[in-house]
Amino acid sequence: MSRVFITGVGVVSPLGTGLAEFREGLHASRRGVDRITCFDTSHFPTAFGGEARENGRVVASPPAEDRKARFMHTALRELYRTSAVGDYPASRRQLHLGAGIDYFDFPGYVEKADGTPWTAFSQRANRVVERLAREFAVDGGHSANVAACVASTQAMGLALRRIRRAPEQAVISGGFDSMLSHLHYMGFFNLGALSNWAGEPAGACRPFDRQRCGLVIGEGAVAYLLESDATADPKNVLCEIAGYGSTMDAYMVTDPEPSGRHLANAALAAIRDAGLTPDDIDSVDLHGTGTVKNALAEARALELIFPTRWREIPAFALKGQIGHLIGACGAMEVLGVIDALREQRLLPSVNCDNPDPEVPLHIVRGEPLAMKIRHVLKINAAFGGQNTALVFRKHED
Amino acid sequence: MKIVLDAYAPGERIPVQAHLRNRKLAKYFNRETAAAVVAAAKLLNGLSFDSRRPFYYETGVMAYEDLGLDLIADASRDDQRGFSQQRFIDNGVRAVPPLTQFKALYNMPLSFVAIEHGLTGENAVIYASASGLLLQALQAPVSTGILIGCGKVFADGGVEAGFALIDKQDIEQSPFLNHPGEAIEIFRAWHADGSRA
Repeated sequence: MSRVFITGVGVVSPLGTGLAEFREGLHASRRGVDRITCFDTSHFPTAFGGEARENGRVVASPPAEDRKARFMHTALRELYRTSAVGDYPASRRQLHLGAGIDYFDFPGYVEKADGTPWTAFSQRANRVVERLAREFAVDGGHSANVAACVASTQAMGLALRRIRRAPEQAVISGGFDSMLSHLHYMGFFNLGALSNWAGEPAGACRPFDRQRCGLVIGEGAVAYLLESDATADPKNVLCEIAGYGSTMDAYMVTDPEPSGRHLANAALAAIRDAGLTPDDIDSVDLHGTGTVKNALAEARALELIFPTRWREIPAFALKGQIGHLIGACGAMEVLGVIDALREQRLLPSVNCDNPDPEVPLHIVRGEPLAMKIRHVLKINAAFGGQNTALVFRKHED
Repeated sequence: MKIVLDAYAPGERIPVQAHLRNRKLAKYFNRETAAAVVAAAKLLNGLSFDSRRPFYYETGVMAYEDLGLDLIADASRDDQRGFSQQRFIDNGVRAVPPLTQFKALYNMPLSFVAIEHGLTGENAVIYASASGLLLQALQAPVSTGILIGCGKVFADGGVEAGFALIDKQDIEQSPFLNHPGEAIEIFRAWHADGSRA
């Protein structure tokens, strides 16, 4: 079976556009969460968001534009400019992306009121992927996964398996999303999911903190080039994707299954898929939404995965810095995994100022933690009860 | 291969209550989810199967909405029939129940079928792609007994849903692996071939 490597990245995120700006923000523990400016939020009961930035400024876009499509286009341009994807013929390129729900121009729909069908104000994520496949000459196949918060990690799992079966292929995978628009944002508010933090916006998303109070919607896009050991140039390898697993809670659509057993089963499946045991895992990149129930379920899951060291294994989460990118979240957070594997240290998880004693995990806080890191487990869970896990391995030069 | 393909006319009642163990869940369903839950029940009820079997679902492009969009829009207009930000917040977002959000999420048919049948295995939700659904099934960690499903709501409110238990060999040579259309077309073709539950 072929080994599968990540060999290129393109990114648009709340920490910046381009890998260099993202890494700079990541290393500085910069917060990408602030009050929303990319659309009018006057009268909104809350307006925190992780807006995509470039050179420190929020990415501007015309009204009624699907921002997530713009972000993925930008990410793909960077990927094509900086990776070996252009060396593959179009017939050997594939594109498998996670996406959020379709953009809908609600103010435009209200203003129009002339019988124009509502579908005219909607921009389909599958059409975006089709258009990008054409523009970037991807003829080997494409798909859009829309499994909410695990869409992008499911897409990466599919990409991993595609290359294992067809090592001559190059697969572009990742995710893109923006729910910073009227209906999507207020839909999450109505469900009581959004942070009601009373302090500064930068502190609004607080994964694993005792005062965590809900999620903050983020936006962005990330595209990875995945290649097999048969075709990748070793000097381009950022890390190896070694294993993948997914499960469903079959419990409730609103809450994670509280025992964490199905999330744990996804992780154990990914670890087995990588040919490893839980003892081989050095660190865990958590989903960490900043909600009360998510943290409890993740702690229970880690207890099941690592029965003797679940309180000790170093863990981290990025959503305090970038918010919850929903259909792109897991793939975007993989950038934190790559950074950990390459730099051999874990960066602190921001806003976890007062760890919750009900969640006695070893969340890295305050200062970076230098340590030997060979394998990182990445877990994510979706509204709806779907779970994913990926195992990443340091590339040994 | 065993398949179920159901079709409902615009406005036709979908008998989902008769196929739900927990009937209270129906309040979360849009027409696609209701049709999917019924079709899955027709395929799976009475079968003995591993709850960890892979389950992949394709949701077709939604051409019909039953979210109450017009109710929100009407409540969000100012006196000149333009969009009012304040009325959107004060009235629009309250024009429909919060649970309406569940009707807008694409993974709900898969999630509710999983809840109803206790499915806890490998899964994915693919958007509007026959080839994408089959490609996902071909990458499943097992070769047999793979559950796939799809749903499609048309502009007039008509809806179709299909479910099938397949083996990889059923689809390895499928012309739909290179088909640009939606997955409901696969189920129509299989149904016409007489592959029925």
